[in-house]
Formats: sequence, C-alpha cells, structure tokens
Amino acid sequence: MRLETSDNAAWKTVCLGMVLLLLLPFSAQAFPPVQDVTAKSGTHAWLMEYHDVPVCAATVTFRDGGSASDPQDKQGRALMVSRLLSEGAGDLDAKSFGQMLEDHAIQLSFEVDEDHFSASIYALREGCEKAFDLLALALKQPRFDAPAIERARAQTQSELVRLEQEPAYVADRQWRKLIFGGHPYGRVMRGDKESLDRLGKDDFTAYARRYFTRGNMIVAAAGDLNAQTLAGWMERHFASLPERFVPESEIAPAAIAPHGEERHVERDVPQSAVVFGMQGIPRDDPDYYAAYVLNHAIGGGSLTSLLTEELREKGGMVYAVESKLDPMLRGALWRGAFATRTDQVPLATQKLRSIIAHIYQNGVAQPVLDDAKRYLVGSFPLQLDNTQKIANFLINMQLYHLGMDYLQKRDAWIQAVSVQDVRRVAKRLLDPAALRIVTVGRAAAQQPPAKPKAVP
Amino acid sequence: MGAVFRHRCCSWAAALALACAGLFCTTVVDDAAAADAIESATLKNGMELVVIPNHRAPMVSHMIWYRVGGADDLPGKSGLAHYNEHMMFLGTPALKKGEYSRRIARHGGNHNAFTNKDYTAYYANIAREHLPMVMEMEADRMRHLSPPPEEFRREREVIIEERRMRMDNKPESLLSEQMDATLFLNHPYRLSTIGWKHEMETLSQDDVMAFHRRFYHPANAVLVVAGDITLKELRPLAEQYYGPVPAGVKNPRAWSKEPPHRASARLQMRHPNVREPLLMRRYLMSGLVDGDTSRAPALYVWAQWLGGSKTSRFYQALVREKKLATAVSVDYDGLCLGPARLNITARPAAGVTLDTLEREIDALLEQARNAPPSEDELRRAKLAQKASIVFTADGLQGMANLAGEFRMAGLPADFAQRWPETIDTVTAAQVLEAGRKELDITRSVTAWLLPEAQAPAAATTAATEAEAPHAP
Repeated sequence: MRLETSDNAAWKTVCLGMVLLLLLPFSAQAFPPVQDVTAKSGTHAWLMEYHDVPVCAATVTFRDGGSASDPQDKQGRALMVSRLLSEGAGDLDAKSFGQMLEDHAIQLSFEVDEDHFSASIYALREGCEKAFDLLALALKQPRFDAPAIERARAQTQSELVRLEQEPAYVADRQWRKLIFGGHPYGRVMRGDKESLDRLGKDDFTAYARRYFTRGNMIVAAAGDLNAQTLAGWMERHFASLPERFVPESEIAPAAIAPHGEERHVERDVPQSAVVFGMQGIPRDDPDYYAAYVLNHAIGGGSLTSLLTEELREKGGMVYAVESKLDPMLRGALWRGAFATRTDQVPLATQKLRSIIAHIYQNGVAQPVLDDAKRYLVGSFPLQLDNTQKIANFLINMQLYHLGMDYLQKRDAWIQAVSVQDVRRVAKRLLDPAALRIVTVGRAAAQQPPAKPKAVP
Repeated sequence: MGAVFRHRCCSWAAALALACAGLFCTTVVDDAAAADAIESATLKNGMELVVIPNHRAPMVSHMIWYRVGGADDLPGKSGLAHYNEHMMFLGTPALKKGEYSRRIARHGGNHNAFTNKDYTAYYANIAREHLPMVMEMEADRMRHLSPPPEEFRREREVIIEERRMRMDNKPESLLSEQMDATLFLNHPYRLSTIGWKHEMETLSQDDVMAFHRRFYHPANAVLVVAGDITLKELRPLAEQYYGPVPAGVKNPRAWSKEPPHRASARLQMRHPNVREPLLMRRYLMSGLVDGDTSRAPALYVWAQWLGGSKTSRFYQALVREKKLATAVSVDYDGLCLGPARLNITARPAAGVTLDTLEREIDALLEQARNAPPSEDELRRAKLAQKASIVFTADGLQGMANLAGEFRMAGLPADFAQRWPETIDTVTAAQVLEAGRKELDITRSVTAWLLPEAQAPAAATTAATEAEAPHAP
C-alpha cells in the first residue's frame, strides 16, 4: 500500500515565535537550490537555506593546508595548528575564548586531512553571527600561547603512544607507508615525538599566514541564514585575509608502483587488524562513478557487501569489513580494513584475494550492480539529513568541481553505470597482483585454516 | 551506558554521546516545543506508537524498541540479549537469512540495531514510501524468528569477534567492564552486555529462542517513527502490520536491588598494551528514574559544570592550570532504569602519578561541595544542556532516538520538550546540594589502569617512547 501524500505545502511553526514560514517539501530527488553567494571582495560561498530548525553550520576549507604540506622534519604541523586555533585568539586567552564559545552554545572545530585544512562552526541561529566572528578571529589572530602549545604537544604525544597500541591504527599507518613510500602521503598526520618537539610558535604563525588566504579558501554554509546575511559576514571577516595563496613547495603526485606486497607487524593482541588496497581513481575520472558503485558492491557500508557476505555472513570471521575510495588530490586510493581472530588471518586474506581476483576477471553480476545502484540512489538523502552534513557536502562539491547542480545530476550518473563499465573498471583497478596487505597481530599464532572446533 | 551495535558503524562513544549529550537540553524558546508536537497512541495489543513529524525530506526513521537489555540476561548467560539482537537478522520462514538487510539496502535505506543494559532497538532510515515494507518485516521477525542452527553457530563466532574488537583489544574497555561488575553488588547492571566470553561460548539456539519468545512482543515494544509522517498516517499501517501480533506481556523487570554500600571499591589493572596510566572513577547516583529523581536535573548541570567542556572546573584546574592531566572528563548518565552512573576519567600528564592525580580530583570534588557554581558557570552549563536538544532535532533520527530512550525509561515520549523549564529552574544552590547529597565514595569504584611491571606508587607515563620492538 502506498501512502497518499497529503497537501503539498507544509506549514511549520518556526521557533523564536516568529511568523509562519512556508517550507516547501521536496521529492527524494530535489533539494533546496544551492545558492552561490558572493561577497563584495569576491569571496564565494555555497549556501543551502533551511528554516525548519534554528541552527546554522558553515565550513571553511583551505586547499593544500593538509598534513602533506608539513615539512619533512616538522610533521604534525598542520594537526597542531588545528588543535591550537581554539586555544586563544585576539585578546582572548584559551579560557576566555572557550567561555565565549560556550556563552553562545557555539561548536567550533578544526580538522586536517592529508590535503586540506578545515574550520567548521555549528550554532543556534542566534549564535551564528558570533560563531563567524570567533571563527574569523581564530583564523586571523591565533595566539599560539606557549602553555597552549605545550598542552597540545603533550596531548598529541600521549595520543601517539596510545595509538601505537591499537592494531587498526598501526595497520593503517604501515599500509600508507607501504603504498606511498617516501611521498608525504606516507607520513603520519600527527608526526612523531621528535617532530612534535621541534615545532614552535614561529612554525604555526608562518603556517597560518601562508595557508589562510582567500586564494585557497572554499566556503559553504547551510541552515537558518540567508544569502545577504552570509555575504555580509564574509565581507566583514574574510575580505582582510590575504588575497593570494602561495604554495610552500610543489608536492608531486604520488607514484604508486603497481606491484603487490604483504607485510606483517608483530603485536601481542587477541585480534588482528588487516588493511588492504591499492591505487584508486581520481575524482574527475570519467569512470569514477563506475568505480564508486563497484566499491559499494564490494565493501560499501551496508551489511550486504560482497566482502561482508564472504567474511562475516558465510565465515563468521569478522564483525565488520569495509572498503572505500579515497580520491586524494595527489594519489587516489582504494582501501579497506577488517579485524579477525589471529589464527584466522591467513584464511580471511585468502578469501579476500580470491574475491578480488574473481571480480578482476568477471566484474560483478547485474543483480549485484542493480542492488548497489538502488542503495546509492535511494539512500542519498540520508547523506544530507542534517545541517552539518549539508555544509560539508557543499564543500566537497566545490573541491571536486562537481557543479552547483550536482545534487540534481548525481543520481543519473549513478544509474548510468553499466555492467560493462564495471567490468572495465575492475580490470583497470583491481589487479590482485597489485594488492597491498598489512596485517598486525601475532605471527606465531597464525596457522593454516583449521577446522572450527565442535560446538554444543 | 554504552550500547553494543550489530555493525561497526556505531561505537560506544557515539552511543554515549547520543544518549548523554542530546539529553535534557532545551530549545531556547518554548515555541519550539509546539512546533514538532510528538503524538502518541497505543494499539489494542499494547504496542505503543510515537510519531515525531519532520518534513525536511520524504524520509522516515522507523525505530522499534524492546524493553529487554543486557540486564535481563539470565544467570550464566550474559550476552544473550545482544546475541538475540544479532539473530534477528538471520531468518524467518518468510525472510531468509540476510533478506531483511538486502531489502532495506535495495530500497536505499540504512539500518542497524543496538543493545544496552535496558533495551534493544532496531532502526531503519528509509524513504517514507517504503515504510510498509519495513513494518511488515519487523512484525514478521518479531513473531516468526527462526534461523537455522548453523546460523546460530556462525553468528556466535561473529559476536565473539565483536567482543574481541570492542573489549579484548582495548584495555580501557576491559577495565570499564570490570568496574561495573565491581560497582554493582547485586543489581544486574553488573553484567557485561556483550557478555563474558566463557558464557558467550555456551549460548545455544534454545537459549536465544526462549529469550526471544519471552521478550519480543507488542506489549513489550515501543514503535517510534520520525520523519515525513503523522500519527494519522502511521496508525492504520501499525494496525495492519503490528496489530495482528499477539500481545504478549510487558517485561516486569524484577531486578535485584542494590543493598547499602559500605565500602568504596578500588581496582588496579595492569596490561601489556598499556603505555600510559589512566584513572577512572565511577559513582552510583540518583537518576531520572531511580533514587531521588528530583535531583537529576541539577546533577546534569553539576556534571556539565565540573567536567563537561574545556572551560569546566576539572579541565581548567587539571589540564590548564596545574598541568596534571592531558585530558579529563565528567559524564553523568541519568537516563536508565537502574542506578545512574557518574564517570570521571583522567589521563595524567607525563611524570604525574595516578596517586597525585586522584588526590587533586578529590580536592576539586571537595571544593565543589563547599561552593556553588558562579552565575556565569551556571548559565553556560545550562545553555549547553539546552542547546543540544536543538542540535538533536537537526537530523532524521536524533529525536526518534531520544523519544525511544525516554519511553524505555518509563518517561513520557515528549520529555525533551518539557525539560526546558526544568533546567531553567535549576539554581546554583540546587546544583551544590545535589552534588553534596549524591557524591558518596562508598558508592563508587576507583580504577587504575597501568602498564605492566611497575609499582603503583611510582606509576608514571613513559618519559620516552621507545620504538615498538617489532615494528619493521
């Protein structure tokens, strides 16, 4: 039985006792329009307006400010900056800055990945303006006070010590080193104890001056604010950022050698971690969507992937197994991970290899492809069901030049992927001889697959 | 409180954050309460319905909550409720193994389930047009669950693997598990929801099916649907799919109560994979359901004030001023049927002993007994509580999750909407008093997590980190 949709216009009461606003509902394929907001100084932001929940979210991403830009002997620089920006800005020391955020229930956070540096705010509507003020203050007048630096250093060093005891982390770190070698992508985002000891205020100040510019800035916002207001805030705060971005150095694309390898790292743990993968596909490659659908079929997040079917549903060997495409700017990856009882590692990796080999030879069957496509299309609104997710998605749309109408076009690109496309992409990407696998656990406990013990 | 999830998409931390951070926070204006009015009803067979309209997208979050959790596990059979949750995906006569998941995925839905001490919940987030399909499948597996024997054996291996991932590979989790087992002298909250491994290994098909027959009934369930729907639209569907299922009984929950505590407990755990010590302390306290419930609102504010953010008393004193810790937090979980828990967690700075850290924490707690929060501190703590409900309303599933948790605790589904006024009336004096009355060291366990082979008095963080010996 299909639900009858009620009257198309839904009236909602907006908080703060204001006038009723018309909220236009939209079909699963339609979203509110993406607005390109331009400030007088020329900065752009993409905005999606909603007035049903009185919150706003915004993200500012600085291209190339990621950990790959850390100098060789100063690894951890970008990450440290991300930890220090909320520890005091302008006239506000760490405590005062924190109190001001809390006075307005503002969430301010900073993230770093290999490629980029991002700053995000999330606030109640009445705190949005202040949130922008404080975000801008943090970017433009960071204090980098000595006690804050010492705290962040100690926290990061302590984290590194802890992470080295986590098999999943060690496996990932080792795998990246394996596939990227000496390229910056092969480094650890947090650096190491020594590099963290070498970093100081001058490094952070220089970083901020170089990387927080209008030339490499991408802005997106969503929620209960309008274009005019956003433009005003951008003008007020971002016009004074340096106009040009001058990269520190040229980061070469990673050269991933096409041979496979397997490495083991010894750790005395009850459960082994395994990371696997190989070179991926750039975001702007015409076959990206075919690869995206293929990856979902192989190890996408749902409980119905081919790898989950084999390793969990049939074998009972893992609790979870996943794979993902990671199209980093200078080296795209396809990477997956799982954890399993140590004596099962050989059998599990054997099954993994045979699945990859099979797909490399045959692609995937039509029903499998159809199911993957149906999921990716049907679940798309769930990727955008809250304001923060929307703001971050709008950043990605700009980063990868997907176009303002991407939300309307994306489903068609997914739907257009054919069995032949997938077979072609599998041949291109999934040569089992190029598979790199890292296992972390007890080698001595690994045995050839044994028969399961008798159960009551 | 931590929930165990069927799939790795959700973690202890995420569940805790969802449960605690989203609770008891008010919108800053009362009108918000009227905006998305929650509607409730009950079917003839006792199944409750709760509807939370949210028309941002034509999607719904369908959550079915059963009043059965880890604390209901039978003696000697810990992990049963969670195992039952896993088995729910593995076959009925109409839905063979994996078919539930495949259908949800094929229709563009996300789904999962989770178990904690009080409840087990199953959710599917999907386009509203597929709601009947979801309901049909949920009603089917509620009533007709019957996976084949080999699935029980195989899935038992899966949950043991899950235990390895969440517990055995994480010394901090292992210790936390021991803390509950120590802190609760008699109450079934002492049980591990994922289960003790030696008991998990013996759980049988008969165990699960008997458990399922006992607890999985409409009278013992609450259906919460949030999204592009109204009660008027949902009710006929609920009647059609859930109505025919025989009522069963509501879980009477005859749990053993805690006797008076007369001694503070201490635990010390050494583990080869620990490089830096960790201090944890857990107190029993009154909550929203158990004990002196009138204190709970003040306790939320109290915990937020003491250790809920970087400007909190504990963080300021321990991390920023005295540099005794690199991290500290105070978390209060008042939304549970049994005794509520307060957690204090602190990581010592390099060269600082757990003994020193603990003494400093005790000094701060003593200070908090003697002087209330300042006006600014009180305002900030209350605002944090209030704002997080607005943030929870931003998104498809958040409010459904809250409503379900409230109903599982026996509180009204719209408790979140009524909370604003209560939080607003909390005074500094009440916060002071609640802390004084509730914080009782004889109702606590203090745990030290240490590296191997060091005397406790000299336990320090590693001054230098040697290269891990076997790393290539």
